Amino acid sequence: MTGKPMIGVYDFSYGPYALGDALTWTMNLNVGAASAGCDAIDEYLVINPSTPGSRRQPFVNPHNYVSIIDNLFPAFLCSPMLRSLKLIRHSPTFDLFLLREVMRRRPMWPSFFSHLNRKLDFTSHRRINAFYAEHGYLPWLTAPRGYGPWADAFRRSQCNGRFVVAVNIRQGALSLTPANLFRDSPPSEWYAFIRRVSTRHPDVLFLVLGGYTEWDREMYRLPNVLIPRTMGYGLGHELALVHRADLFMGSSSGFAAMATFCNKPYVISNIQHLFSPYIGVPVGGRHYPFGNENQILHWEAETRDVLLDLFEELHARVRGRLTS
Amino acid sequence: MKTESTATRLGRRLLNAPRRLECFPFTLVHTVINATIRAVRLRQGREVVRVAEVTGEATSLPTRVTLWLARVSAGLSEPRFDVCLRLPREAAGDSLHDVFSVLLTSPRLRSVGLYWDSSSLADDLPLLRAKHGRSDPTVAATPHTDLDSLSFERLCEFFQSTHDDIVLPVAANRDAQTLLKRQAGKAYAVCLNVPVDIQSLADTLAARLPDFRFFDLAPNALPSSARAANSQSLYGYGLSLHERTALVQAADAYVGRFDELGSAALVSGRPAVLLGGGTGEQPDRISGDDMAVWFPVPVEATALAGAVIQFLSRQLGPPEIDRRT
Repeated sequence: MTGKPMIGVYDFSYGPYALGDALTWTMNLNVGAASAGCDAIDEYLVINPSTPGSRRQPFVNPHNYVSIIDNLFPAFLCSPMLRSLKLIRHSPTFDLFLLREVMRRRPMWPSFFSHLNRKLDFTSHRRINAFYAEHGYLPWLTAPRGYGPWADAFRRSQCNGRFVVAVNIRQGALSLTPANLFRDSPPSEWYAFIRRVSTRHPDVLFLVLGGYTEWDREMYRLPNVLIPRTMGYGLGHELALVHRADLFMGSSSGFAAMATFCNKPYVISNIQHLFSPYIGVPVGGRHYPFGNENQILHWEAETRDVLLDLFEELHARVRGRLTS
Repeated sequence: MKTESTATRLGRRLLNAPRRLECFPFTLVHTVINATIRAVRLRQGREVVRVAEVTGEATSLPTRVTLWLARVSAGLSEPRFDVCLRLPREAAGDSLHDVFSVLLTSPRLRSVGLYWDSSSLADDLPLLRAKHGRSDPTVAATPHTDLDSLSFERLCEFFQSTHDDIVLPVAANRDAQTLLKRQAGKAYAVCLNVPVDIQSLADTLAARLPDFRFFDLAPNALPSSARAANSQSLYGYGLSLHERTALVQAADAYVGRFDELGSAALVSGRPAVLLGGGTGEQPDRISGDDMAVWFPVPVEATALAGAVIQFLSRQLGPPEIDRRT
């Protein structure tokens, strides 16, 4: 891989420490690279250790940013075109690299001018939708670099050929950095749904994803459930499992972004209506512009009945496709 | 580390002033000034970069990076430097996150570069390496360290030298202290990380030292329900490498593999019994300073248990007994 590279800049002085935003940024990089005819991506993660966070995330400070970037790191490994990744904690060092790339006229996300204005569109799907409309395909994300073979081995050793559903239930109230709690999903509906599925479809195995604090203790007691974090695994493993799962089901948040951008069958629930203009889907729309019939959006808070209906619809189709 | 002079501090504030306005053209001015400063420092030969390469199997990569980083840090007088790692595209395994975590524990690192392509690395090095070094044929090439093997000699070198402190996130240290306070009280806390083939050592220690509390970090450890009351497995706690390292450094002693956790135990200066890493041609037992002993070649678990108990008793003395559990 020695071709023309696309440059990605994620400067945490204006970009958030957030899984979904990091994955959307990576997807924008993929799309930018494909548009510009690049076959490689060089990522720059930039942190000023004395002021490591943006105004939107005042809880990030010089004493905790190392934990936060460490926890987020695997999200930046999901581009199949990734050629290099640099974490730079020194502005002059980064600025010299930046000017070099500008002088070489390398395509960049965000653009040099946006970077100078400290602007990054980390939420919207504008460029992704536009690329799909023009080309009819997307350059998808993949499992974090190095973790794909591990996920294959995990499926062989732990899942025994069962139909694997990766699940993430947003529980911001249990998070180490609680925010936007109105986006949380009702866990009791999910528990009831998982219990019903275990009765009706005993061949289904649920992998519950999310930080150790972010799922309820009830999860331990549910049938047909594995929790990778309790097995010593981390975010890199979880993202790889989303990529290798048969189906993803979960609230609209970081793991849902991974499922969206690695082209898995999915049900994404509890989508906030205010996201509609950013993702280019009217409220109530069932699919992203680039989504297929096995990639379903649900705009309301989950109920056990709705979850079961959506699951059974997809299970039948995806299972059929797998066996055929 | 030298503190900044008032003039330097004022100069830096002046230089950062345009950046605070956070919009074009002020940020452009700041970027150009910054890049110029960096270019001048490179020309003056005041910047240092170290490069390592992994071309083969990625087994024990976090440990190899730990030892390499310690070696590099010890050999440099510059307070801050850059590191680059050339990694194999497919064979990096699922340890890349741990490698990154290891690198983050050094506050001296100004930048960390991970490369899956040699040409990209070669392209970046001129912006990281002092200019005079590039033109001087004797130092023209930044030495690439081969991280392909975790040799006994490397472990031995680490075992016998002094190291920079590992700086862990405050939350990891706080949570480790809190866990040990809650679980061990004033009893001695020992972190275990024993290889699978001598797993019985963990059980023997717990049985013969009932007043100590054992915290097992090994992936193959038995679940807590199958262990003695004074021993528990923490593997299912989903701890990150930083959190496990903080536990090792907060505990009173460490018994286990000579890996990245064993290295952290050595750095912390706590009593440590290190296991493995030899090839069979080394002595059974190597003593460091008073605080550490290393068994590089496999030793039968019963004999090893006797030596470990003797070491712990000498280092920690009779335990402060906590009868709450």
